[in-house]
Amino acid sequence: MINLSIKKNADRYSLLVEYIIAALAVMSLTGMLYFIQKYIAEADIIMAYLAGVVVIAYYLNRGSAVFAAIASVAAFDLFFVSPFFTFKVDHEKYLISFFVMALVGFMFSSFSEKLKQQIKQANEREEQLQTLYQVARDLAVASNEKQIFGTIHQQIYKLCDADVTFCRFYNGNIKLLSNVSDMNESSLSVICIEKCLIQKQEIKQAVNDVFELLYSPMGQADQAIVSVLKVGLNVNKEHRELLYTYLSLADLTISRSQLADQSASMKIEKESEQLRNAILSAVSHDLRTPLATIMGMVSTMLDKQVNVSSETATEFLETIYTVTEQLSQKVTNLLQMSRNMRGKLQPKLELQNPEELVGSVLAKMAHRLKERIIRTQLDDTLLIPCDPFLLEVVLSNLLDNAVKYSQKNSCITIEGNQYENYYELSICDQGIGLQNKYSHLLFDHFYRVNHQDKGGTGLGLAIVKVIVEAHGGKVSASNDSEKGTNFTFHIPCKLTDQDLPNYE
Amino acid sequence: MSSTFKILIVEDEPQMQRFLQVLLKGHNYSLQIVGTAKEALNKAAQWQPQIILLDLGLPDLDGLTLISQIREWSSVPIIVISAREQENDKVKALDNGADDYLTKPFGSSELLARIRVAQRHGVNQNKSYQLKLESDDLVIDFAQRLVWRSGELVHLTPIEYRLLHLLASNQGKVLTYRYILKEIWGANYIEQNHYVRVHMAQMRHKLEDNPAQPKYLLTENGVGYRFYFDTDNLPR
Repeated sequence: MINLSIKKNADRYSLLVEYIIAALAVMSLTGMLYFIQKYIAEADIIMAYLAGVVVIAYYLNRGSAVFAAIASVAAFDLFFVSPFFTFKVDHEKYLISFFVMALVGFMFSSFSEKLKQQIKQANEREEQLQTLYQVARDLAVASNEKQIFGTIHQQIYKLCDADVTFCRFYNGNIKLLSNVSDMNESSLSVICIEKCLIQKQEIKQAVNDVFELLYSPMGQADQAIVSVLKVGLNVNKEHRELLYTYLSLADLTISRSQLADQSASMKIEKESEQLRNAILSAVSHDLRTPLATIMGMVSTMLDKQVNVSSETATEFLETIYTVTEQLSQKVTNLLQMSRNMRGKLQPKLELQNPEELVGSVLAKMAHRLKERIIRTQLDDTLLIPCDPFLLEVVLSNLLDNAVKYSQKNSCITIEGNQYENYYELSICDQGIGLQNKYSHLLFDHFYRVNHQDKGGTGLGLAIVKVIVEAHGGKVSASNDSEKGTNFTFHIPCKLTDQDLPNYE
Repeated sequence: MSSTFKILIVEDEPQMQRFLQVLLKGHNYSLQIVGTAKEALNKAAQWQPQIILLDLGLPDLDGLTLISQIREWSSVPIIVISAREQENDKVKALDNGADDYLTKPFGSSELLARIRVAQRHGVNQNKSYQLKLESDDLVIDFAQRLVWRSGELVHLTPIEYRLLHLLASNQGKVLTYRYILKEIWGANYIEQNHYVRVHMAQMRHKLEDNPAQPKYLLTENGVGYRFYFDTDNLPR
């Protein structure tokens, strides 16, 4: 209320100033005309006064224009119509001049007032349109519901004396989705929200003489989101319409973001479905092939009609042994992968001697490695913190890989190096090497350089990566300087004396 | 068993090659083993095998394509071996012209039984027509278009008779839904698998002692049907 009275006073003050300006303008015009009246006709003087009124009507308000018109008539009578300096007139014809002058002045002032009003309205409309565009732009970039609610609330607040909040209705409870508004759960009506959701249309609730609440459903029906607009009864029609426009914009945006969420979750589902299918096909193909060999060979040996010589029998048993070994490695990998996928891998760190670790893996894989020459170059006393079982999986996968992609009787080198804050272990083979363009794909699930001929689930290197990264390390592959592939991984180990007890 | 029966094995896995070699040589088949589709095409043309055993996963060409290529000029029975489990692949292979299908892993007796079926089928193809099929309780007379079960005449609808005739003249061979539909209902009906199922169910009730454990009209799940009419056991 105080605000309003100050505003009114200020208005009255500026009105007064405009009247003074109008009076001064008429006075100065009169002064000027008085000095040059000998050189101009009476009609020109009237014209000059009318021009003055037009200018005043254009720049000042209607009242001062009317005042200027009357003042002009008075000044004309006083200074330019004989007898001078009195309102008396000699001739009646001047009465008509006065009347026309006043009439034209009034008309001008009223026209210009109308013009000004129209300009003002046009400006207002443009402004509203601009803010609407702005809102639309803001909403277009808003990615989550919180941003959408924030934008709408801010714009509605800016526009007029109104407040908006958004709430979700669930099991008879109202939950506010944004906390920018002055409203709270208790000020909202459950009945109105239910009604608005069921009827899928806006519901008005008059609260008191000052404002009313407008409930409207938002987004998709199954989400049960309702916007509550608190709008003063004194807010004019245009603003109300704009408010509703904002709300329908918000509605569209919320629907859009909900659909985007749905499509994103569907995409994730589809991807995991694809992964599952890939696992299934990998399992079915790569477990069946060795099984087929085993089953075929065993059933052939059992076939009484077939005379299997003892050499063939030994050869078959050898093959079965090798194939079973590969099968076992694949099964281990699959189990490991399913474990990795289920949750985060937590290595149990213990201090291990690399030489011992590599030695035990080599012993386990002796059969698979018997046609390769193994060279090791490892530190015999060093201890590194790692999970021995997981590191065994890493080493056996890398060695298996080296065997798979290299020739008989070629050399595989295992080399360990201690650096300032990590331990590096590399396994080099003399096999076919890799094409650099594929090296970034190597560690992906189910990726294989040459799909058909080597067998394998494509899981081995993915598992290596997961385990090494769980240790905080890194694994990489490169072409060796001579020939073959070089797989290198490093595991952080910053050993000082204080660290020692932590790992025991 | 004929010692000159020629089998071409198309398989790239050396271990599988080795076991097939020992097994089939032991059963007195004459063998040629190749590892690629290119060699397979050459050998199939030059050596004229009587059966082709084909692994679908070949390094140089998709097995399905190879089947179509062979089928362009030869009707030699093709038995497909694959580690892929999807029914889809089976159906595709059979639709492309393969005669039978084996999924890895399989035992020797299973393979031998399939080879025997294919062998017989290959021989049957040369005969112009088989006029009558007879077993302990089922007689099918193609000349009179009549079917007897345990001495009693069985009434079959025209569609059922055509279905039975189609299956019986492809004894032992798996016929896909698609093939059956195309042959009996026409090319516009090849998606209507249920047509076949309904008629097969009715026919099973008419011809089988125990429709749930059929002796003659065997279902290859998701693939199609196989008519089986022999004393020779086909391991399932």
